[in-house]
Amino acid sequence: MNDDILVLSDVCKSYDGVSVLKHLFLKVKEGEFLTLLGASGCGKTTTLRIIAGLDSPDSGNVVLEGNDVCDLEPNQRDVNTVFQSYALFPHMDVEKNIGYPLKLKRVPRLEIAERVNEILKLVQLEGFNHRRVPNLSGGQKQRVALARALVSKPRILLLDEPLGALDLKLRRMMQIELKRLQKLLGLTFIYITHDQEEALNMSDRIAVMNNGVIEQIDASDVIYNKPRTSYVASFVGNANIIKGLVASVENDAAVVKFCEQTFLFSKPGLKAGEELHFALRTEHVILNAPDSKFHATVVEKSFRGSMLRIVLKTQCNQEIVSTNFGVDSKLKEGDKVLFSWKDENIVLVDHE
Amino acid sequence: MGRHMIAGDLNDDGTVPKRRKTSPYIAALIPLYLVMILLVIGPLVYTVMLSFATNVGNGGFSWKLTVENYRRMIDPVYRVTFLKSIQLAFLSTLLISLIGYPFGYWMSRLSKKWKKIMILLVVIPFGVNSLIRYYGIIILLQSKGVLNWLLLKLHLIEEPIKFLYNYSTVLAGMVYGLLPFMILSVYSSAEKIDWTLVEASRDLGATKTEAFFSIIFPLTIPGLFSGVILSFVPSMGLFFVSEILGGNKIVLVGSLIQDQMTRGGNWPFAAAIAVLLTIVTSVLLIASARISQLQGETRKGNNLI
Ligand SMILES: Nc1ncnc2c1ncn2[C@@H]1O[C@H](COP(=O)(O)OP(=O)(O)OP(=O)(O)O)[C@@H](O)[C@H]1O
Ligand SMILES: [Mg+2]
Repeated sequence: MNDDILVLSDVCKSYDGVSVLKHLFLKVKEGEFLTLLGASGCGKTTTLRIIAGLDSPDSGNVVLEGNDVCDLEPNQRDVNTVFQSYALFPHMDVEKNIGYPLKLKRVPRLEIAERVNEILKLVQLEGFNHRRVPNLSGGQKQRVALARALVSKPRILLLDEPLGALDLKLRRMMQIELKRLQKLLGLTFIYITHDQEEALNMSDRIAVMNNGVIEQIDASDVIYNKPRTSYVASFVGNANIIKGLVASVENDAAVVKFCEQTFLFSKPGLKAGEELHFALRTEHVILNAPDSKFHATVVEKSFRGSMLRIVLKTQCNQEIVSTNFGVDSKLKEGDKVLFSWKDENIVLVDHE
Repeated sequence: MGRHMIAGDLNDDGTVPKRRKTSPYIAALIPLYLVMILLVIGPLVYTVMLSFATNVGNGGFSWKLTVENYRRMIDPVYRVTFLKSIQLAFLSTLLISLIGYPFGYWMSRLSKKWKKIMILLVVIPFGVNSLIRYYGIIILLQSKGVLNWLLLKLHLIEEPIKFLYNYSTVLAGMVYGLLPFMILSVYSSAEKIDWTLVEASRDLGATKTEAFFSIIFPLTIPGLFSGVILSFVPSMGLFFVSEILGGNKIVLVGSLIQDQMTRGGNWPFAAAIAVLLTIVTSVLLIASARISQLQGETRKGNNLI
């Protein structure tokens, strides 16, 4: 309870009558790496700006270390942001950029120089003190922005898609580095991304946002393996959503009708006639096994790197995607196939 | 976002490929260069030559070369005129900056719709010939003018005030005529500021005032400087302002040149003053361009962010 460093409760925000955040609740634990994951436009940046104080909520509370900070200006909040565009000051060199927050705090000049050098070492930019900002590469700018946000030792660091503008290789490298820094400093990170892989790689917990609310907030593996909603399941790991109807219930298990066939699903408390949604990861779709019984047609076959991706269309016109690593298949477009899954690989979602 | 990435890419490898193919453009610019040579460099060269010619009176001159025209300017009368002109130019530039900077910055913070309206309002006076505008001011300010009439009617004053024909009127006239240049150039540089920079500074602990002085002001210095140049240079030469509003009591370099050409009939001397004026303003111009350039280099970074 008391290790919550930041609590957003019932936060609403709308722009020009369009509501962007709808009764958002969020608790952030001290020292954790929390990722806000969600599609473009779902309100991630807005949430971050409200935490930073750059925007104010229409209603609801922002409580930082037990104090309501809603009426505090951004400069009065012990929270720093790394902007996606870096927002480095073009008229200052690297050293001046990083020293900026310290100068505002009237830290003596010698100490500023010392702390700037310290942090430059930390982000592996030693000796870059007098480089001019426009001449830095994307990755270097990123590090400077990070150093500038870290140097004044804020309680929480907010990062808005900080790696969005970097190429894949650099992004991987910076992911590892960010994680290293976060652990080293024991600092609370709130990190925005719409890259599920990035989120899964780095986070202690992931909050999946959809349309102005947080649909699920859990540890990365829980989000991946036990999604609670079909949105979470399809956004994180691109799961297939299987929609079935409970035909009958016997001994804590339901007979679920799907595509002219039935399968058993064990869970107490299900009722006949109920519509159920299940998440089935693409890598868990089994093709043409002896006990496969769902009919489908291959409509697309493609290679994604080392991965073979097959799109099926079921009898009831639903698309099912199957992926396999390193396995070639004689299947081609138009082939009829049977598919199935293992019982333990199917997850009930959108269900209280 | 795409724009930033492209700019970043160019910056990363440090080269600007495929940008050197400029020759076709140069060819297209030849007519422009011809016009420039004909209308700008030509008259300038002729003026310099003329300034070394010998005056024979009544607008006539002979090509016997002499430095007499320059020697004559050592005369205190002319020196005082020069200093007075520079002083007036400095003062009016200062006033223009003090009024124009806040105004231009304020305009840049307006909504799109209001920006358009304000730009229009600032630019409209340019649609009317400036001579006509200055005569308009006389109608407003003269002893039996509109303003005095109004003040008398309202019983705020008992006798008409002499607004015209003194130093402050000329100063006010300069400010009035040149203010739009300052407003527009400050506006255009303030408009370009990436507002996330200001948000970043606030986020990092700056109060609104600190953010203004550490971020906004430095980034608008190039605009302020071009505004300064655009007000200083013309206010050295705008002879008709002092002529119309100063009633010939305030003699500035501009009017001196005009006087020498018309009434004085001494073209070589007028040319020499003109050359000196050009040199003085050029030196001031280059000096400020230097400072502005230093700032401008850093401003380029603005686009990258
Ligand atoms: N200042 C604003 N004025 C009007 N609408 C805004 C403003 N800021 C955000 N919005 C709208 O609010 C919605 C959420 O925006 P937000 O920037 O929070 O999304 P996001 O989740 O960060 O998306 P992305 O991943 O694309 O950055 C969007 O539809 C956006 O158009
Ligand atoms: Mg965003």
